[in-house]
Amino acid sequence: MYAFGYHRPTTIDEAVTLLGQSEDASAIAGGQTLLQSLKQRLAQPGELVDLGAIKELSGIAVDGRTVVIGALTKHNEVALSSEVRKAVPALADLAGAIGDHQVRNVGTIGGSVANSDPAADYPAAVLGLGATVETNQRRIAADDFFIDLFETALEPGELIKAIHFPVPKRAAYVKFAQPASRYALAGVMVAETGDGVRLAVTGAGACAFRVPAMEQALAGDFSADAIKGVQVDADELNDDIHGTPAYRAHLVNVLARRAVEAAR
Amino acid sequence: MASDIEEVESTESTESAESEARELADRLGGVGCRRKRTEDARFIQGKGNYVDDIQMPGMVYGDFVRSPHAHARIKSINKDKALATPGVHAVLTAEDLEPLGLHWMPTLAGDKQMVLADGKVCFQNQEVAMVIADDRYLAADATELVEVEYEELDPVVDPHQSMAEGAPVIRDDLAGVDEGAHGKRIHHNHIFTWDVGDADATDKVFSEAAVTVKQDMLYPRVHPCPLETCGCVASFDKVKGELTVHLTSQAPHVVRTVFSTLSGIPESKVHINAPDIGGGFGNKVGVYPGYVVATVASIVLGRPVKWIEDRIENLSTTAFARDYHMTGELAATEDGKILGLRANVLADHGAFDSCADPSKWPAGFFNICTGSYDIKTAYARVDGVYTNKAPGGVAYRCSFRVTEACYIIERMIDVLAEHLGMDKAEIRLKNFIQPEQFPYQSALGWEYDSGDYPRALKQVMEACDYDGLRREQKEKRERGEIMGIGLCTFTEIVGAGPSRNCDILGVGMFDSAEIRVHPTGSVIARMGTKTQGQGHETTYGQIIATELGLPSENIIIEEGNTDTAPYGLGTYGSRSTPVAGAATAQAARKIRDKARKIAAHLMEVSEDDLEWSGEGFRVKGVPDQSTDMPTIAWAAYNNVPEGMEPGLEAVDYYDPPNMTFPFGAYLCVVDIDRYTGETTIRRFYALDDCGTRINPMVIEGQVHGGLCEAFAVAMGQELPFDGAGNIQGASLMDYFLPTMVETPRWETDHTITPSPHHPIGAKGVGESSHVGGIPCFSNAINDAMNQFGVSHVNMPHNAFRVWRTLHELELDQRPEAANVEPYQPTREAAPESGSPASVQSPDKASGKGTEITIERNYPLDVPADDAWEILQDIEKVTACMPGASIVEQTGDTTYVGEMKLKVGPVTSAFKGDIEVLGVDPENKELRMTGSGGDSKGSSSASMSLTARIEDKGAGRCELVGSTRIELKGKLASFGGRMLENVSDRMLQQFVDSFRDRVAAGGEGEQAEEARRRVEEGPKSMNALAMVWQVIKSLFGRK
Ligand SMILES: Cc1cc2nc3c(=O)[nH]c(=O)nc-3n(C[C@H](O)[C@H](O)[C@H](O)COP(=O)(O)OP(=O)(O)OC[C@H]3O[C@@H](n4cnc5c(N)ncnc54)[C@H](O)[C@@H]3O)c2cc1C
Repeated sequence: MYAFGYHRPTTIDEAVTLLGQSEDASAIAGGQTLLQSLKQRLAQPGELVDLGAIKELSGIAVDGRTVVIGALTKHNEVALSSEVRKAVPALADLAGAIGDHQVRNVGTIGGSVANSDPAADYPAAVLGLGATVETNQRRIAADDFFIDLFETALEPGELIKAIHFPVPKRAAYVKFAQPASRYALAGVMVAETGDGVRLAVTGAGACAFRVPAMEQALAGDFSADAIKGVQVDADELNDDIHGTPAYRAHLVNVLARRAVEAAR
Repeated sequence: MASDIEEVESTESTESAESEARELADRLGGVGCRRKRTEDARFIQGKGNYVDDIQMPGMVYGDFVRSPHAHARIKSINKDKALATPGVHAVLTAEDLEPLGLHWMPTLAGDKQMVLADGKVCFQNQEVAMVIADDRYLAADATELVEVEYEELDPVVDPHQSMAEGAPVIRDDLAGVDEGAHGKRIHHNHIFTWDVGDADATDKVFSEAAVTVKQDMLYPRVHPCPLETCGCVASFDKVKGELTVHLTSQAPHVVRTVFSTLSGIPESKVHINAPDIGGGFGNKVGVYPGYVVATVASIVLGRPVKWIEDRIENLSTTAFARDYHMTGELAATEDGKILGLRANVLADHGAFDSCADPSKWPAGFFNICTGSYDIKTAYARVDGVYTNKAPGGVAYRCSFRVTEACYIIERMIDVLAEHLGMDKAEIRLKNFIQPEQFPYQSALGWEYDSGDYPRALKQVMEACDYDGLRREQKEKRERGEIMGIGLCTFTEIVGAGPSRNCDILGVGMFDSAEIRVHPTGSVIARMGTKTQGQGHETTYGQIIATELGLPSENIIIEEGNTDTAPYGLGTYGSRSTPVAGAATAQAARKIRDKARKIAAHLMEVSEDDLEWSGEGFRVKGVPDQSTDMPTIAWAAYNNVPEGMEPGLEAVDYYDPPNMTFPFGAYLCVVDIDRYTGETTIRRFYALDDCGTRINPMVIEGQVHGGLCEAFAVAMGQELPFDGAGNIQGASLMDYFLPTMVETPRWETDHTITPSPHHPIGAKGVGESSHVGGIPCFSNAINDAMNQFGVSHVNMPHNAFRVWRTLHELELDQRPEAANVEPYQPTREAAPESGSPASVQSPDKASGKGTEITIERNYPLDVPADDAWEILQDIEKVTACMPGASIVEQTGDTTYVGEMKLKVGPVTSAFKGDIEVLGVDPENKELRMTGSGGDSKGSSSASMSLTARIEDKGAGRCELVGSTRIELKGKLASFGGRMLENVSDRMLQQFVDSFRDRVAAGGEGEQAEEARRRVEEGPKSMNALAMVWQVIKSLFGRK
């Protein structure tokens, strides 16, 4: 770990100001990604701006049609929230399958979404449920948010305040964990929403992505059989010691069918 | 009639004697009772004391500069910048160690190993220099300021290519040395050839046998990965000339001898202390460069120096295990009676042979590979070779190469059964060594002490309803479901060992115990072994409690401090109970002999009239005339018989007459999800026989732990390398360490067949379940695959690999019930037996290096001449590269360039040389190369680029680019897999900027816009996740 300055603002404005004051400042939420980068001396922020004391960033609000989750809400708070479980059980399931208890007690939804790790779980929920990302500057639709490997629509100094999830008619998330890291080797969120069927994949590509061919097939017939023959193109998928693109493409189909069967 | 009654009576009296003994054991906390572990009180309260807990006044910290290359010559090392940093005390390199003769050190295997890179590096992450600074952060900062210039050499990665003609020379120091520590060397990368058995007789058996089978199998490179990594605190007292080293060692006494020999400090002035150890599993047997350099640093600086590795350092540089490329062959009769075995192994030892086996055993006890079977004729041969990988080859929770031996025979017997269409239990029962054959002389030279294999297997088959399972498997298969049943009936060889054939660096492999009984009857005892989680403090106490009739709660066990404990060879290879446990019983018996004399004196009777009561002595036939051990202990200090020395203590150095041979029968049932390849371990039943059971609960704990690690190895662990020698997956993001979430439930059982030669009949057990568990899992997966005609798939059996096999068989698609052709065993004759060169394992440890070649065409909306003008200008071209710039021009065609990458939270800066190889105006072609390293010295990259402008007419052209990029070091290990994706995007950005540059030369709004963008410079690389795996590797949970 390199030496760095540490700040703990209590308001978003203060945080944004601090982040703007130096070129290599970085926000830190749960630190479950950033701290590891620091420990391995791969990240070298001059200043760390800890969002932990900004009260307005935390909390869950459900109003019947929308679940709003503050950026600083911990994975376990989402997983164990009876309100979330009632409104969008798939979302509570997803949060409960992230890492282990230690990670879930510290890691935050905002950090996960801002980071856009290709194997992270939340991006599948944001994209699959058609959520909206609220920042200190604007609202960004999920479809415009995830751009590429670790790349999102967020501008420098832009902070996520909350994620707005519309409540779907039914949805399910099925994850296939990479055995060592337990991140998603592939994960599929399927949802029947007011705007039709959405199906988002994480773990398999550079960032979370939708599969229009499956969505179309499911729009006519929301059944596992409807997407039996719909494969994603392996060409663009990730390749590592844990699985070839072909394996990931195959898993996406299997998991998608299982998700459709499990949707409630 | 009368005799019947008598027999009933005698059974009753044995039963009552047994229950009395049990009651006594429970009361004393003696042998046989389920006593809670005494060490747990401190561990579960966080009060353990590990090496990293040790703080000393004035202590400074060491950190290593490591090589990003697998094979390279070191051209120069510049320490100036590091040394100029405030808080940095020293930077040590091989040059500094050379005058002390410490730049190399001997290995336990008779080879030698670089302590710090001496002129070249032979594996990735090899130790090049150590920086010593006020704290570990400063030390780490300063490692990045040490400038090392490398000249890359071709690496040897695949052991099968190691002895090829013209293979790169890994060990320059061995030039001309054709006599190795274990005989002739036949190639510059050859270490040894070790063989055992009768080759000719074996050939004959194979040529005459009705049935032969042959199978290649790879036991991949894995790592024990103990929770606590390795480290030390070295402290040299200049005034007294004494050296104290606290270190993570399974064998502290040997370390003392090695340190004394290496340093020339008298052994009496070297104090080694191994405090609490957070798991060893073989990883903490060897002496690592970190220990040596920290010690030298302490001597030089006169201050305590601490060095602690991180997880990636531990996984990538300290002793790995296995890496055995094996070919097994069995010859048998038509009805499955095995006649002969042949085993050929190519052993990948890495760059130095630092295996930790007894000196005369370069392949450990691999010759236990005839297993539990009565195989009359056998031959085994192991060839050890060097490769550009980290050294090691320790026994990961097994006695010297016994896991590999057990794996080959247990897999081969299944291969044979499958070939014959015979049941896998039946073939075992048919070939077992029978109980009456013990002591049994094996074809490859061992004398098995005791065993009852048929009883063990039958007990397991009954407990699990084996026949029922087979029926279920058949039914399932008809429904298209995949189920596998694995069996393993292993025999281990542990307790090294008799000094006639076992030594380490010339020291016989005895072990020791010293017991002192205090006047009030409490006890302190010390042993030459060192617990790392095995529970010695509990179990040794139980042996003493039973032998001396004193309660174990008042018995303190100490190990690890070489000043106080008697000399011993340490804890590994399940040797503690067989050797130091025997010494403990023997020392206690010496005390008991003296106690008997004191008791006779106290009771004023003859010694011969006394008998041991379990807690003291009583007069034969007069049970109420007795005295207990506390009374005797008190007397030992104030009322001893005339002529007797006072005191009550004894030491015993135990040289075992033979090894012990624990065994077991395991059964595993797996269900495989054919769509994902995921395996569910439905049932795992482990029956172990380790002779006398000192503490059943500790045994069960050991069995559970060993099975967890067996599960890890069989189902997921592996340390692969790419073709350039970059280690892949040396972090917990990639290396599988199962938690309680993944770990199946274990069922344990036992039989008891005491060792006839051990004082209390005990055998080792710490490793049995690892040795036996791995083939059991593998046999279960292979059993499932056998149904489809597949005879063997290699470990690890993770979901991806299982799926790959199923995918090849087209079994991974719906509909559920695939019509699967019943498997017909093929009966081809086995091919000629393998010389090592013909040993080909299906999964080679290679693949291509972390390099890619990209060729792309990018259309440009500008005339070819305009584009060419910019392409010729190296500075402008560079400026199109996001984050890149030219720092200086060093010659007509050479430049120094810099490139900064910011990837999510990760930043790295590369600096290197760029050379323009050719500018060809005719073809409008530019050729250049670049190579450099990141400023942290942990990674390097090289690239060659050809770019050409092709005129497409009508004021348009095309940029045709072809580039080859190669990565080494940390980036390659963790980020290499994303290289293509990232490079593609970088090129795209480059082309975008290039277009802007060309367009900026024009007129109008578009040109205006382009000029503005050129002015701004290329978009920052913020989003380019060159190394997203790195980020995740960071979870290296230490
Ligand atoms: C052992 C382990 C296992 C894990 N397993 C999983 C898993 O299975 N699935 C999974 O999805 N994840 C997993 N994670 C990651 C975990 O979910 C993290 O919580 C998540 O990646 C980042 O959240 P954080 O709050 O810790 O963010 P931090 O690490 O604090 O920050 C991450 C990045 O996001 C930025 N950031 C943080 N908050 C904001 C904000 N409000 N607005 C803008 N930018 C912000 C930071 O500047 C930083 O660049 C695992 C982590 C660990 C350590």
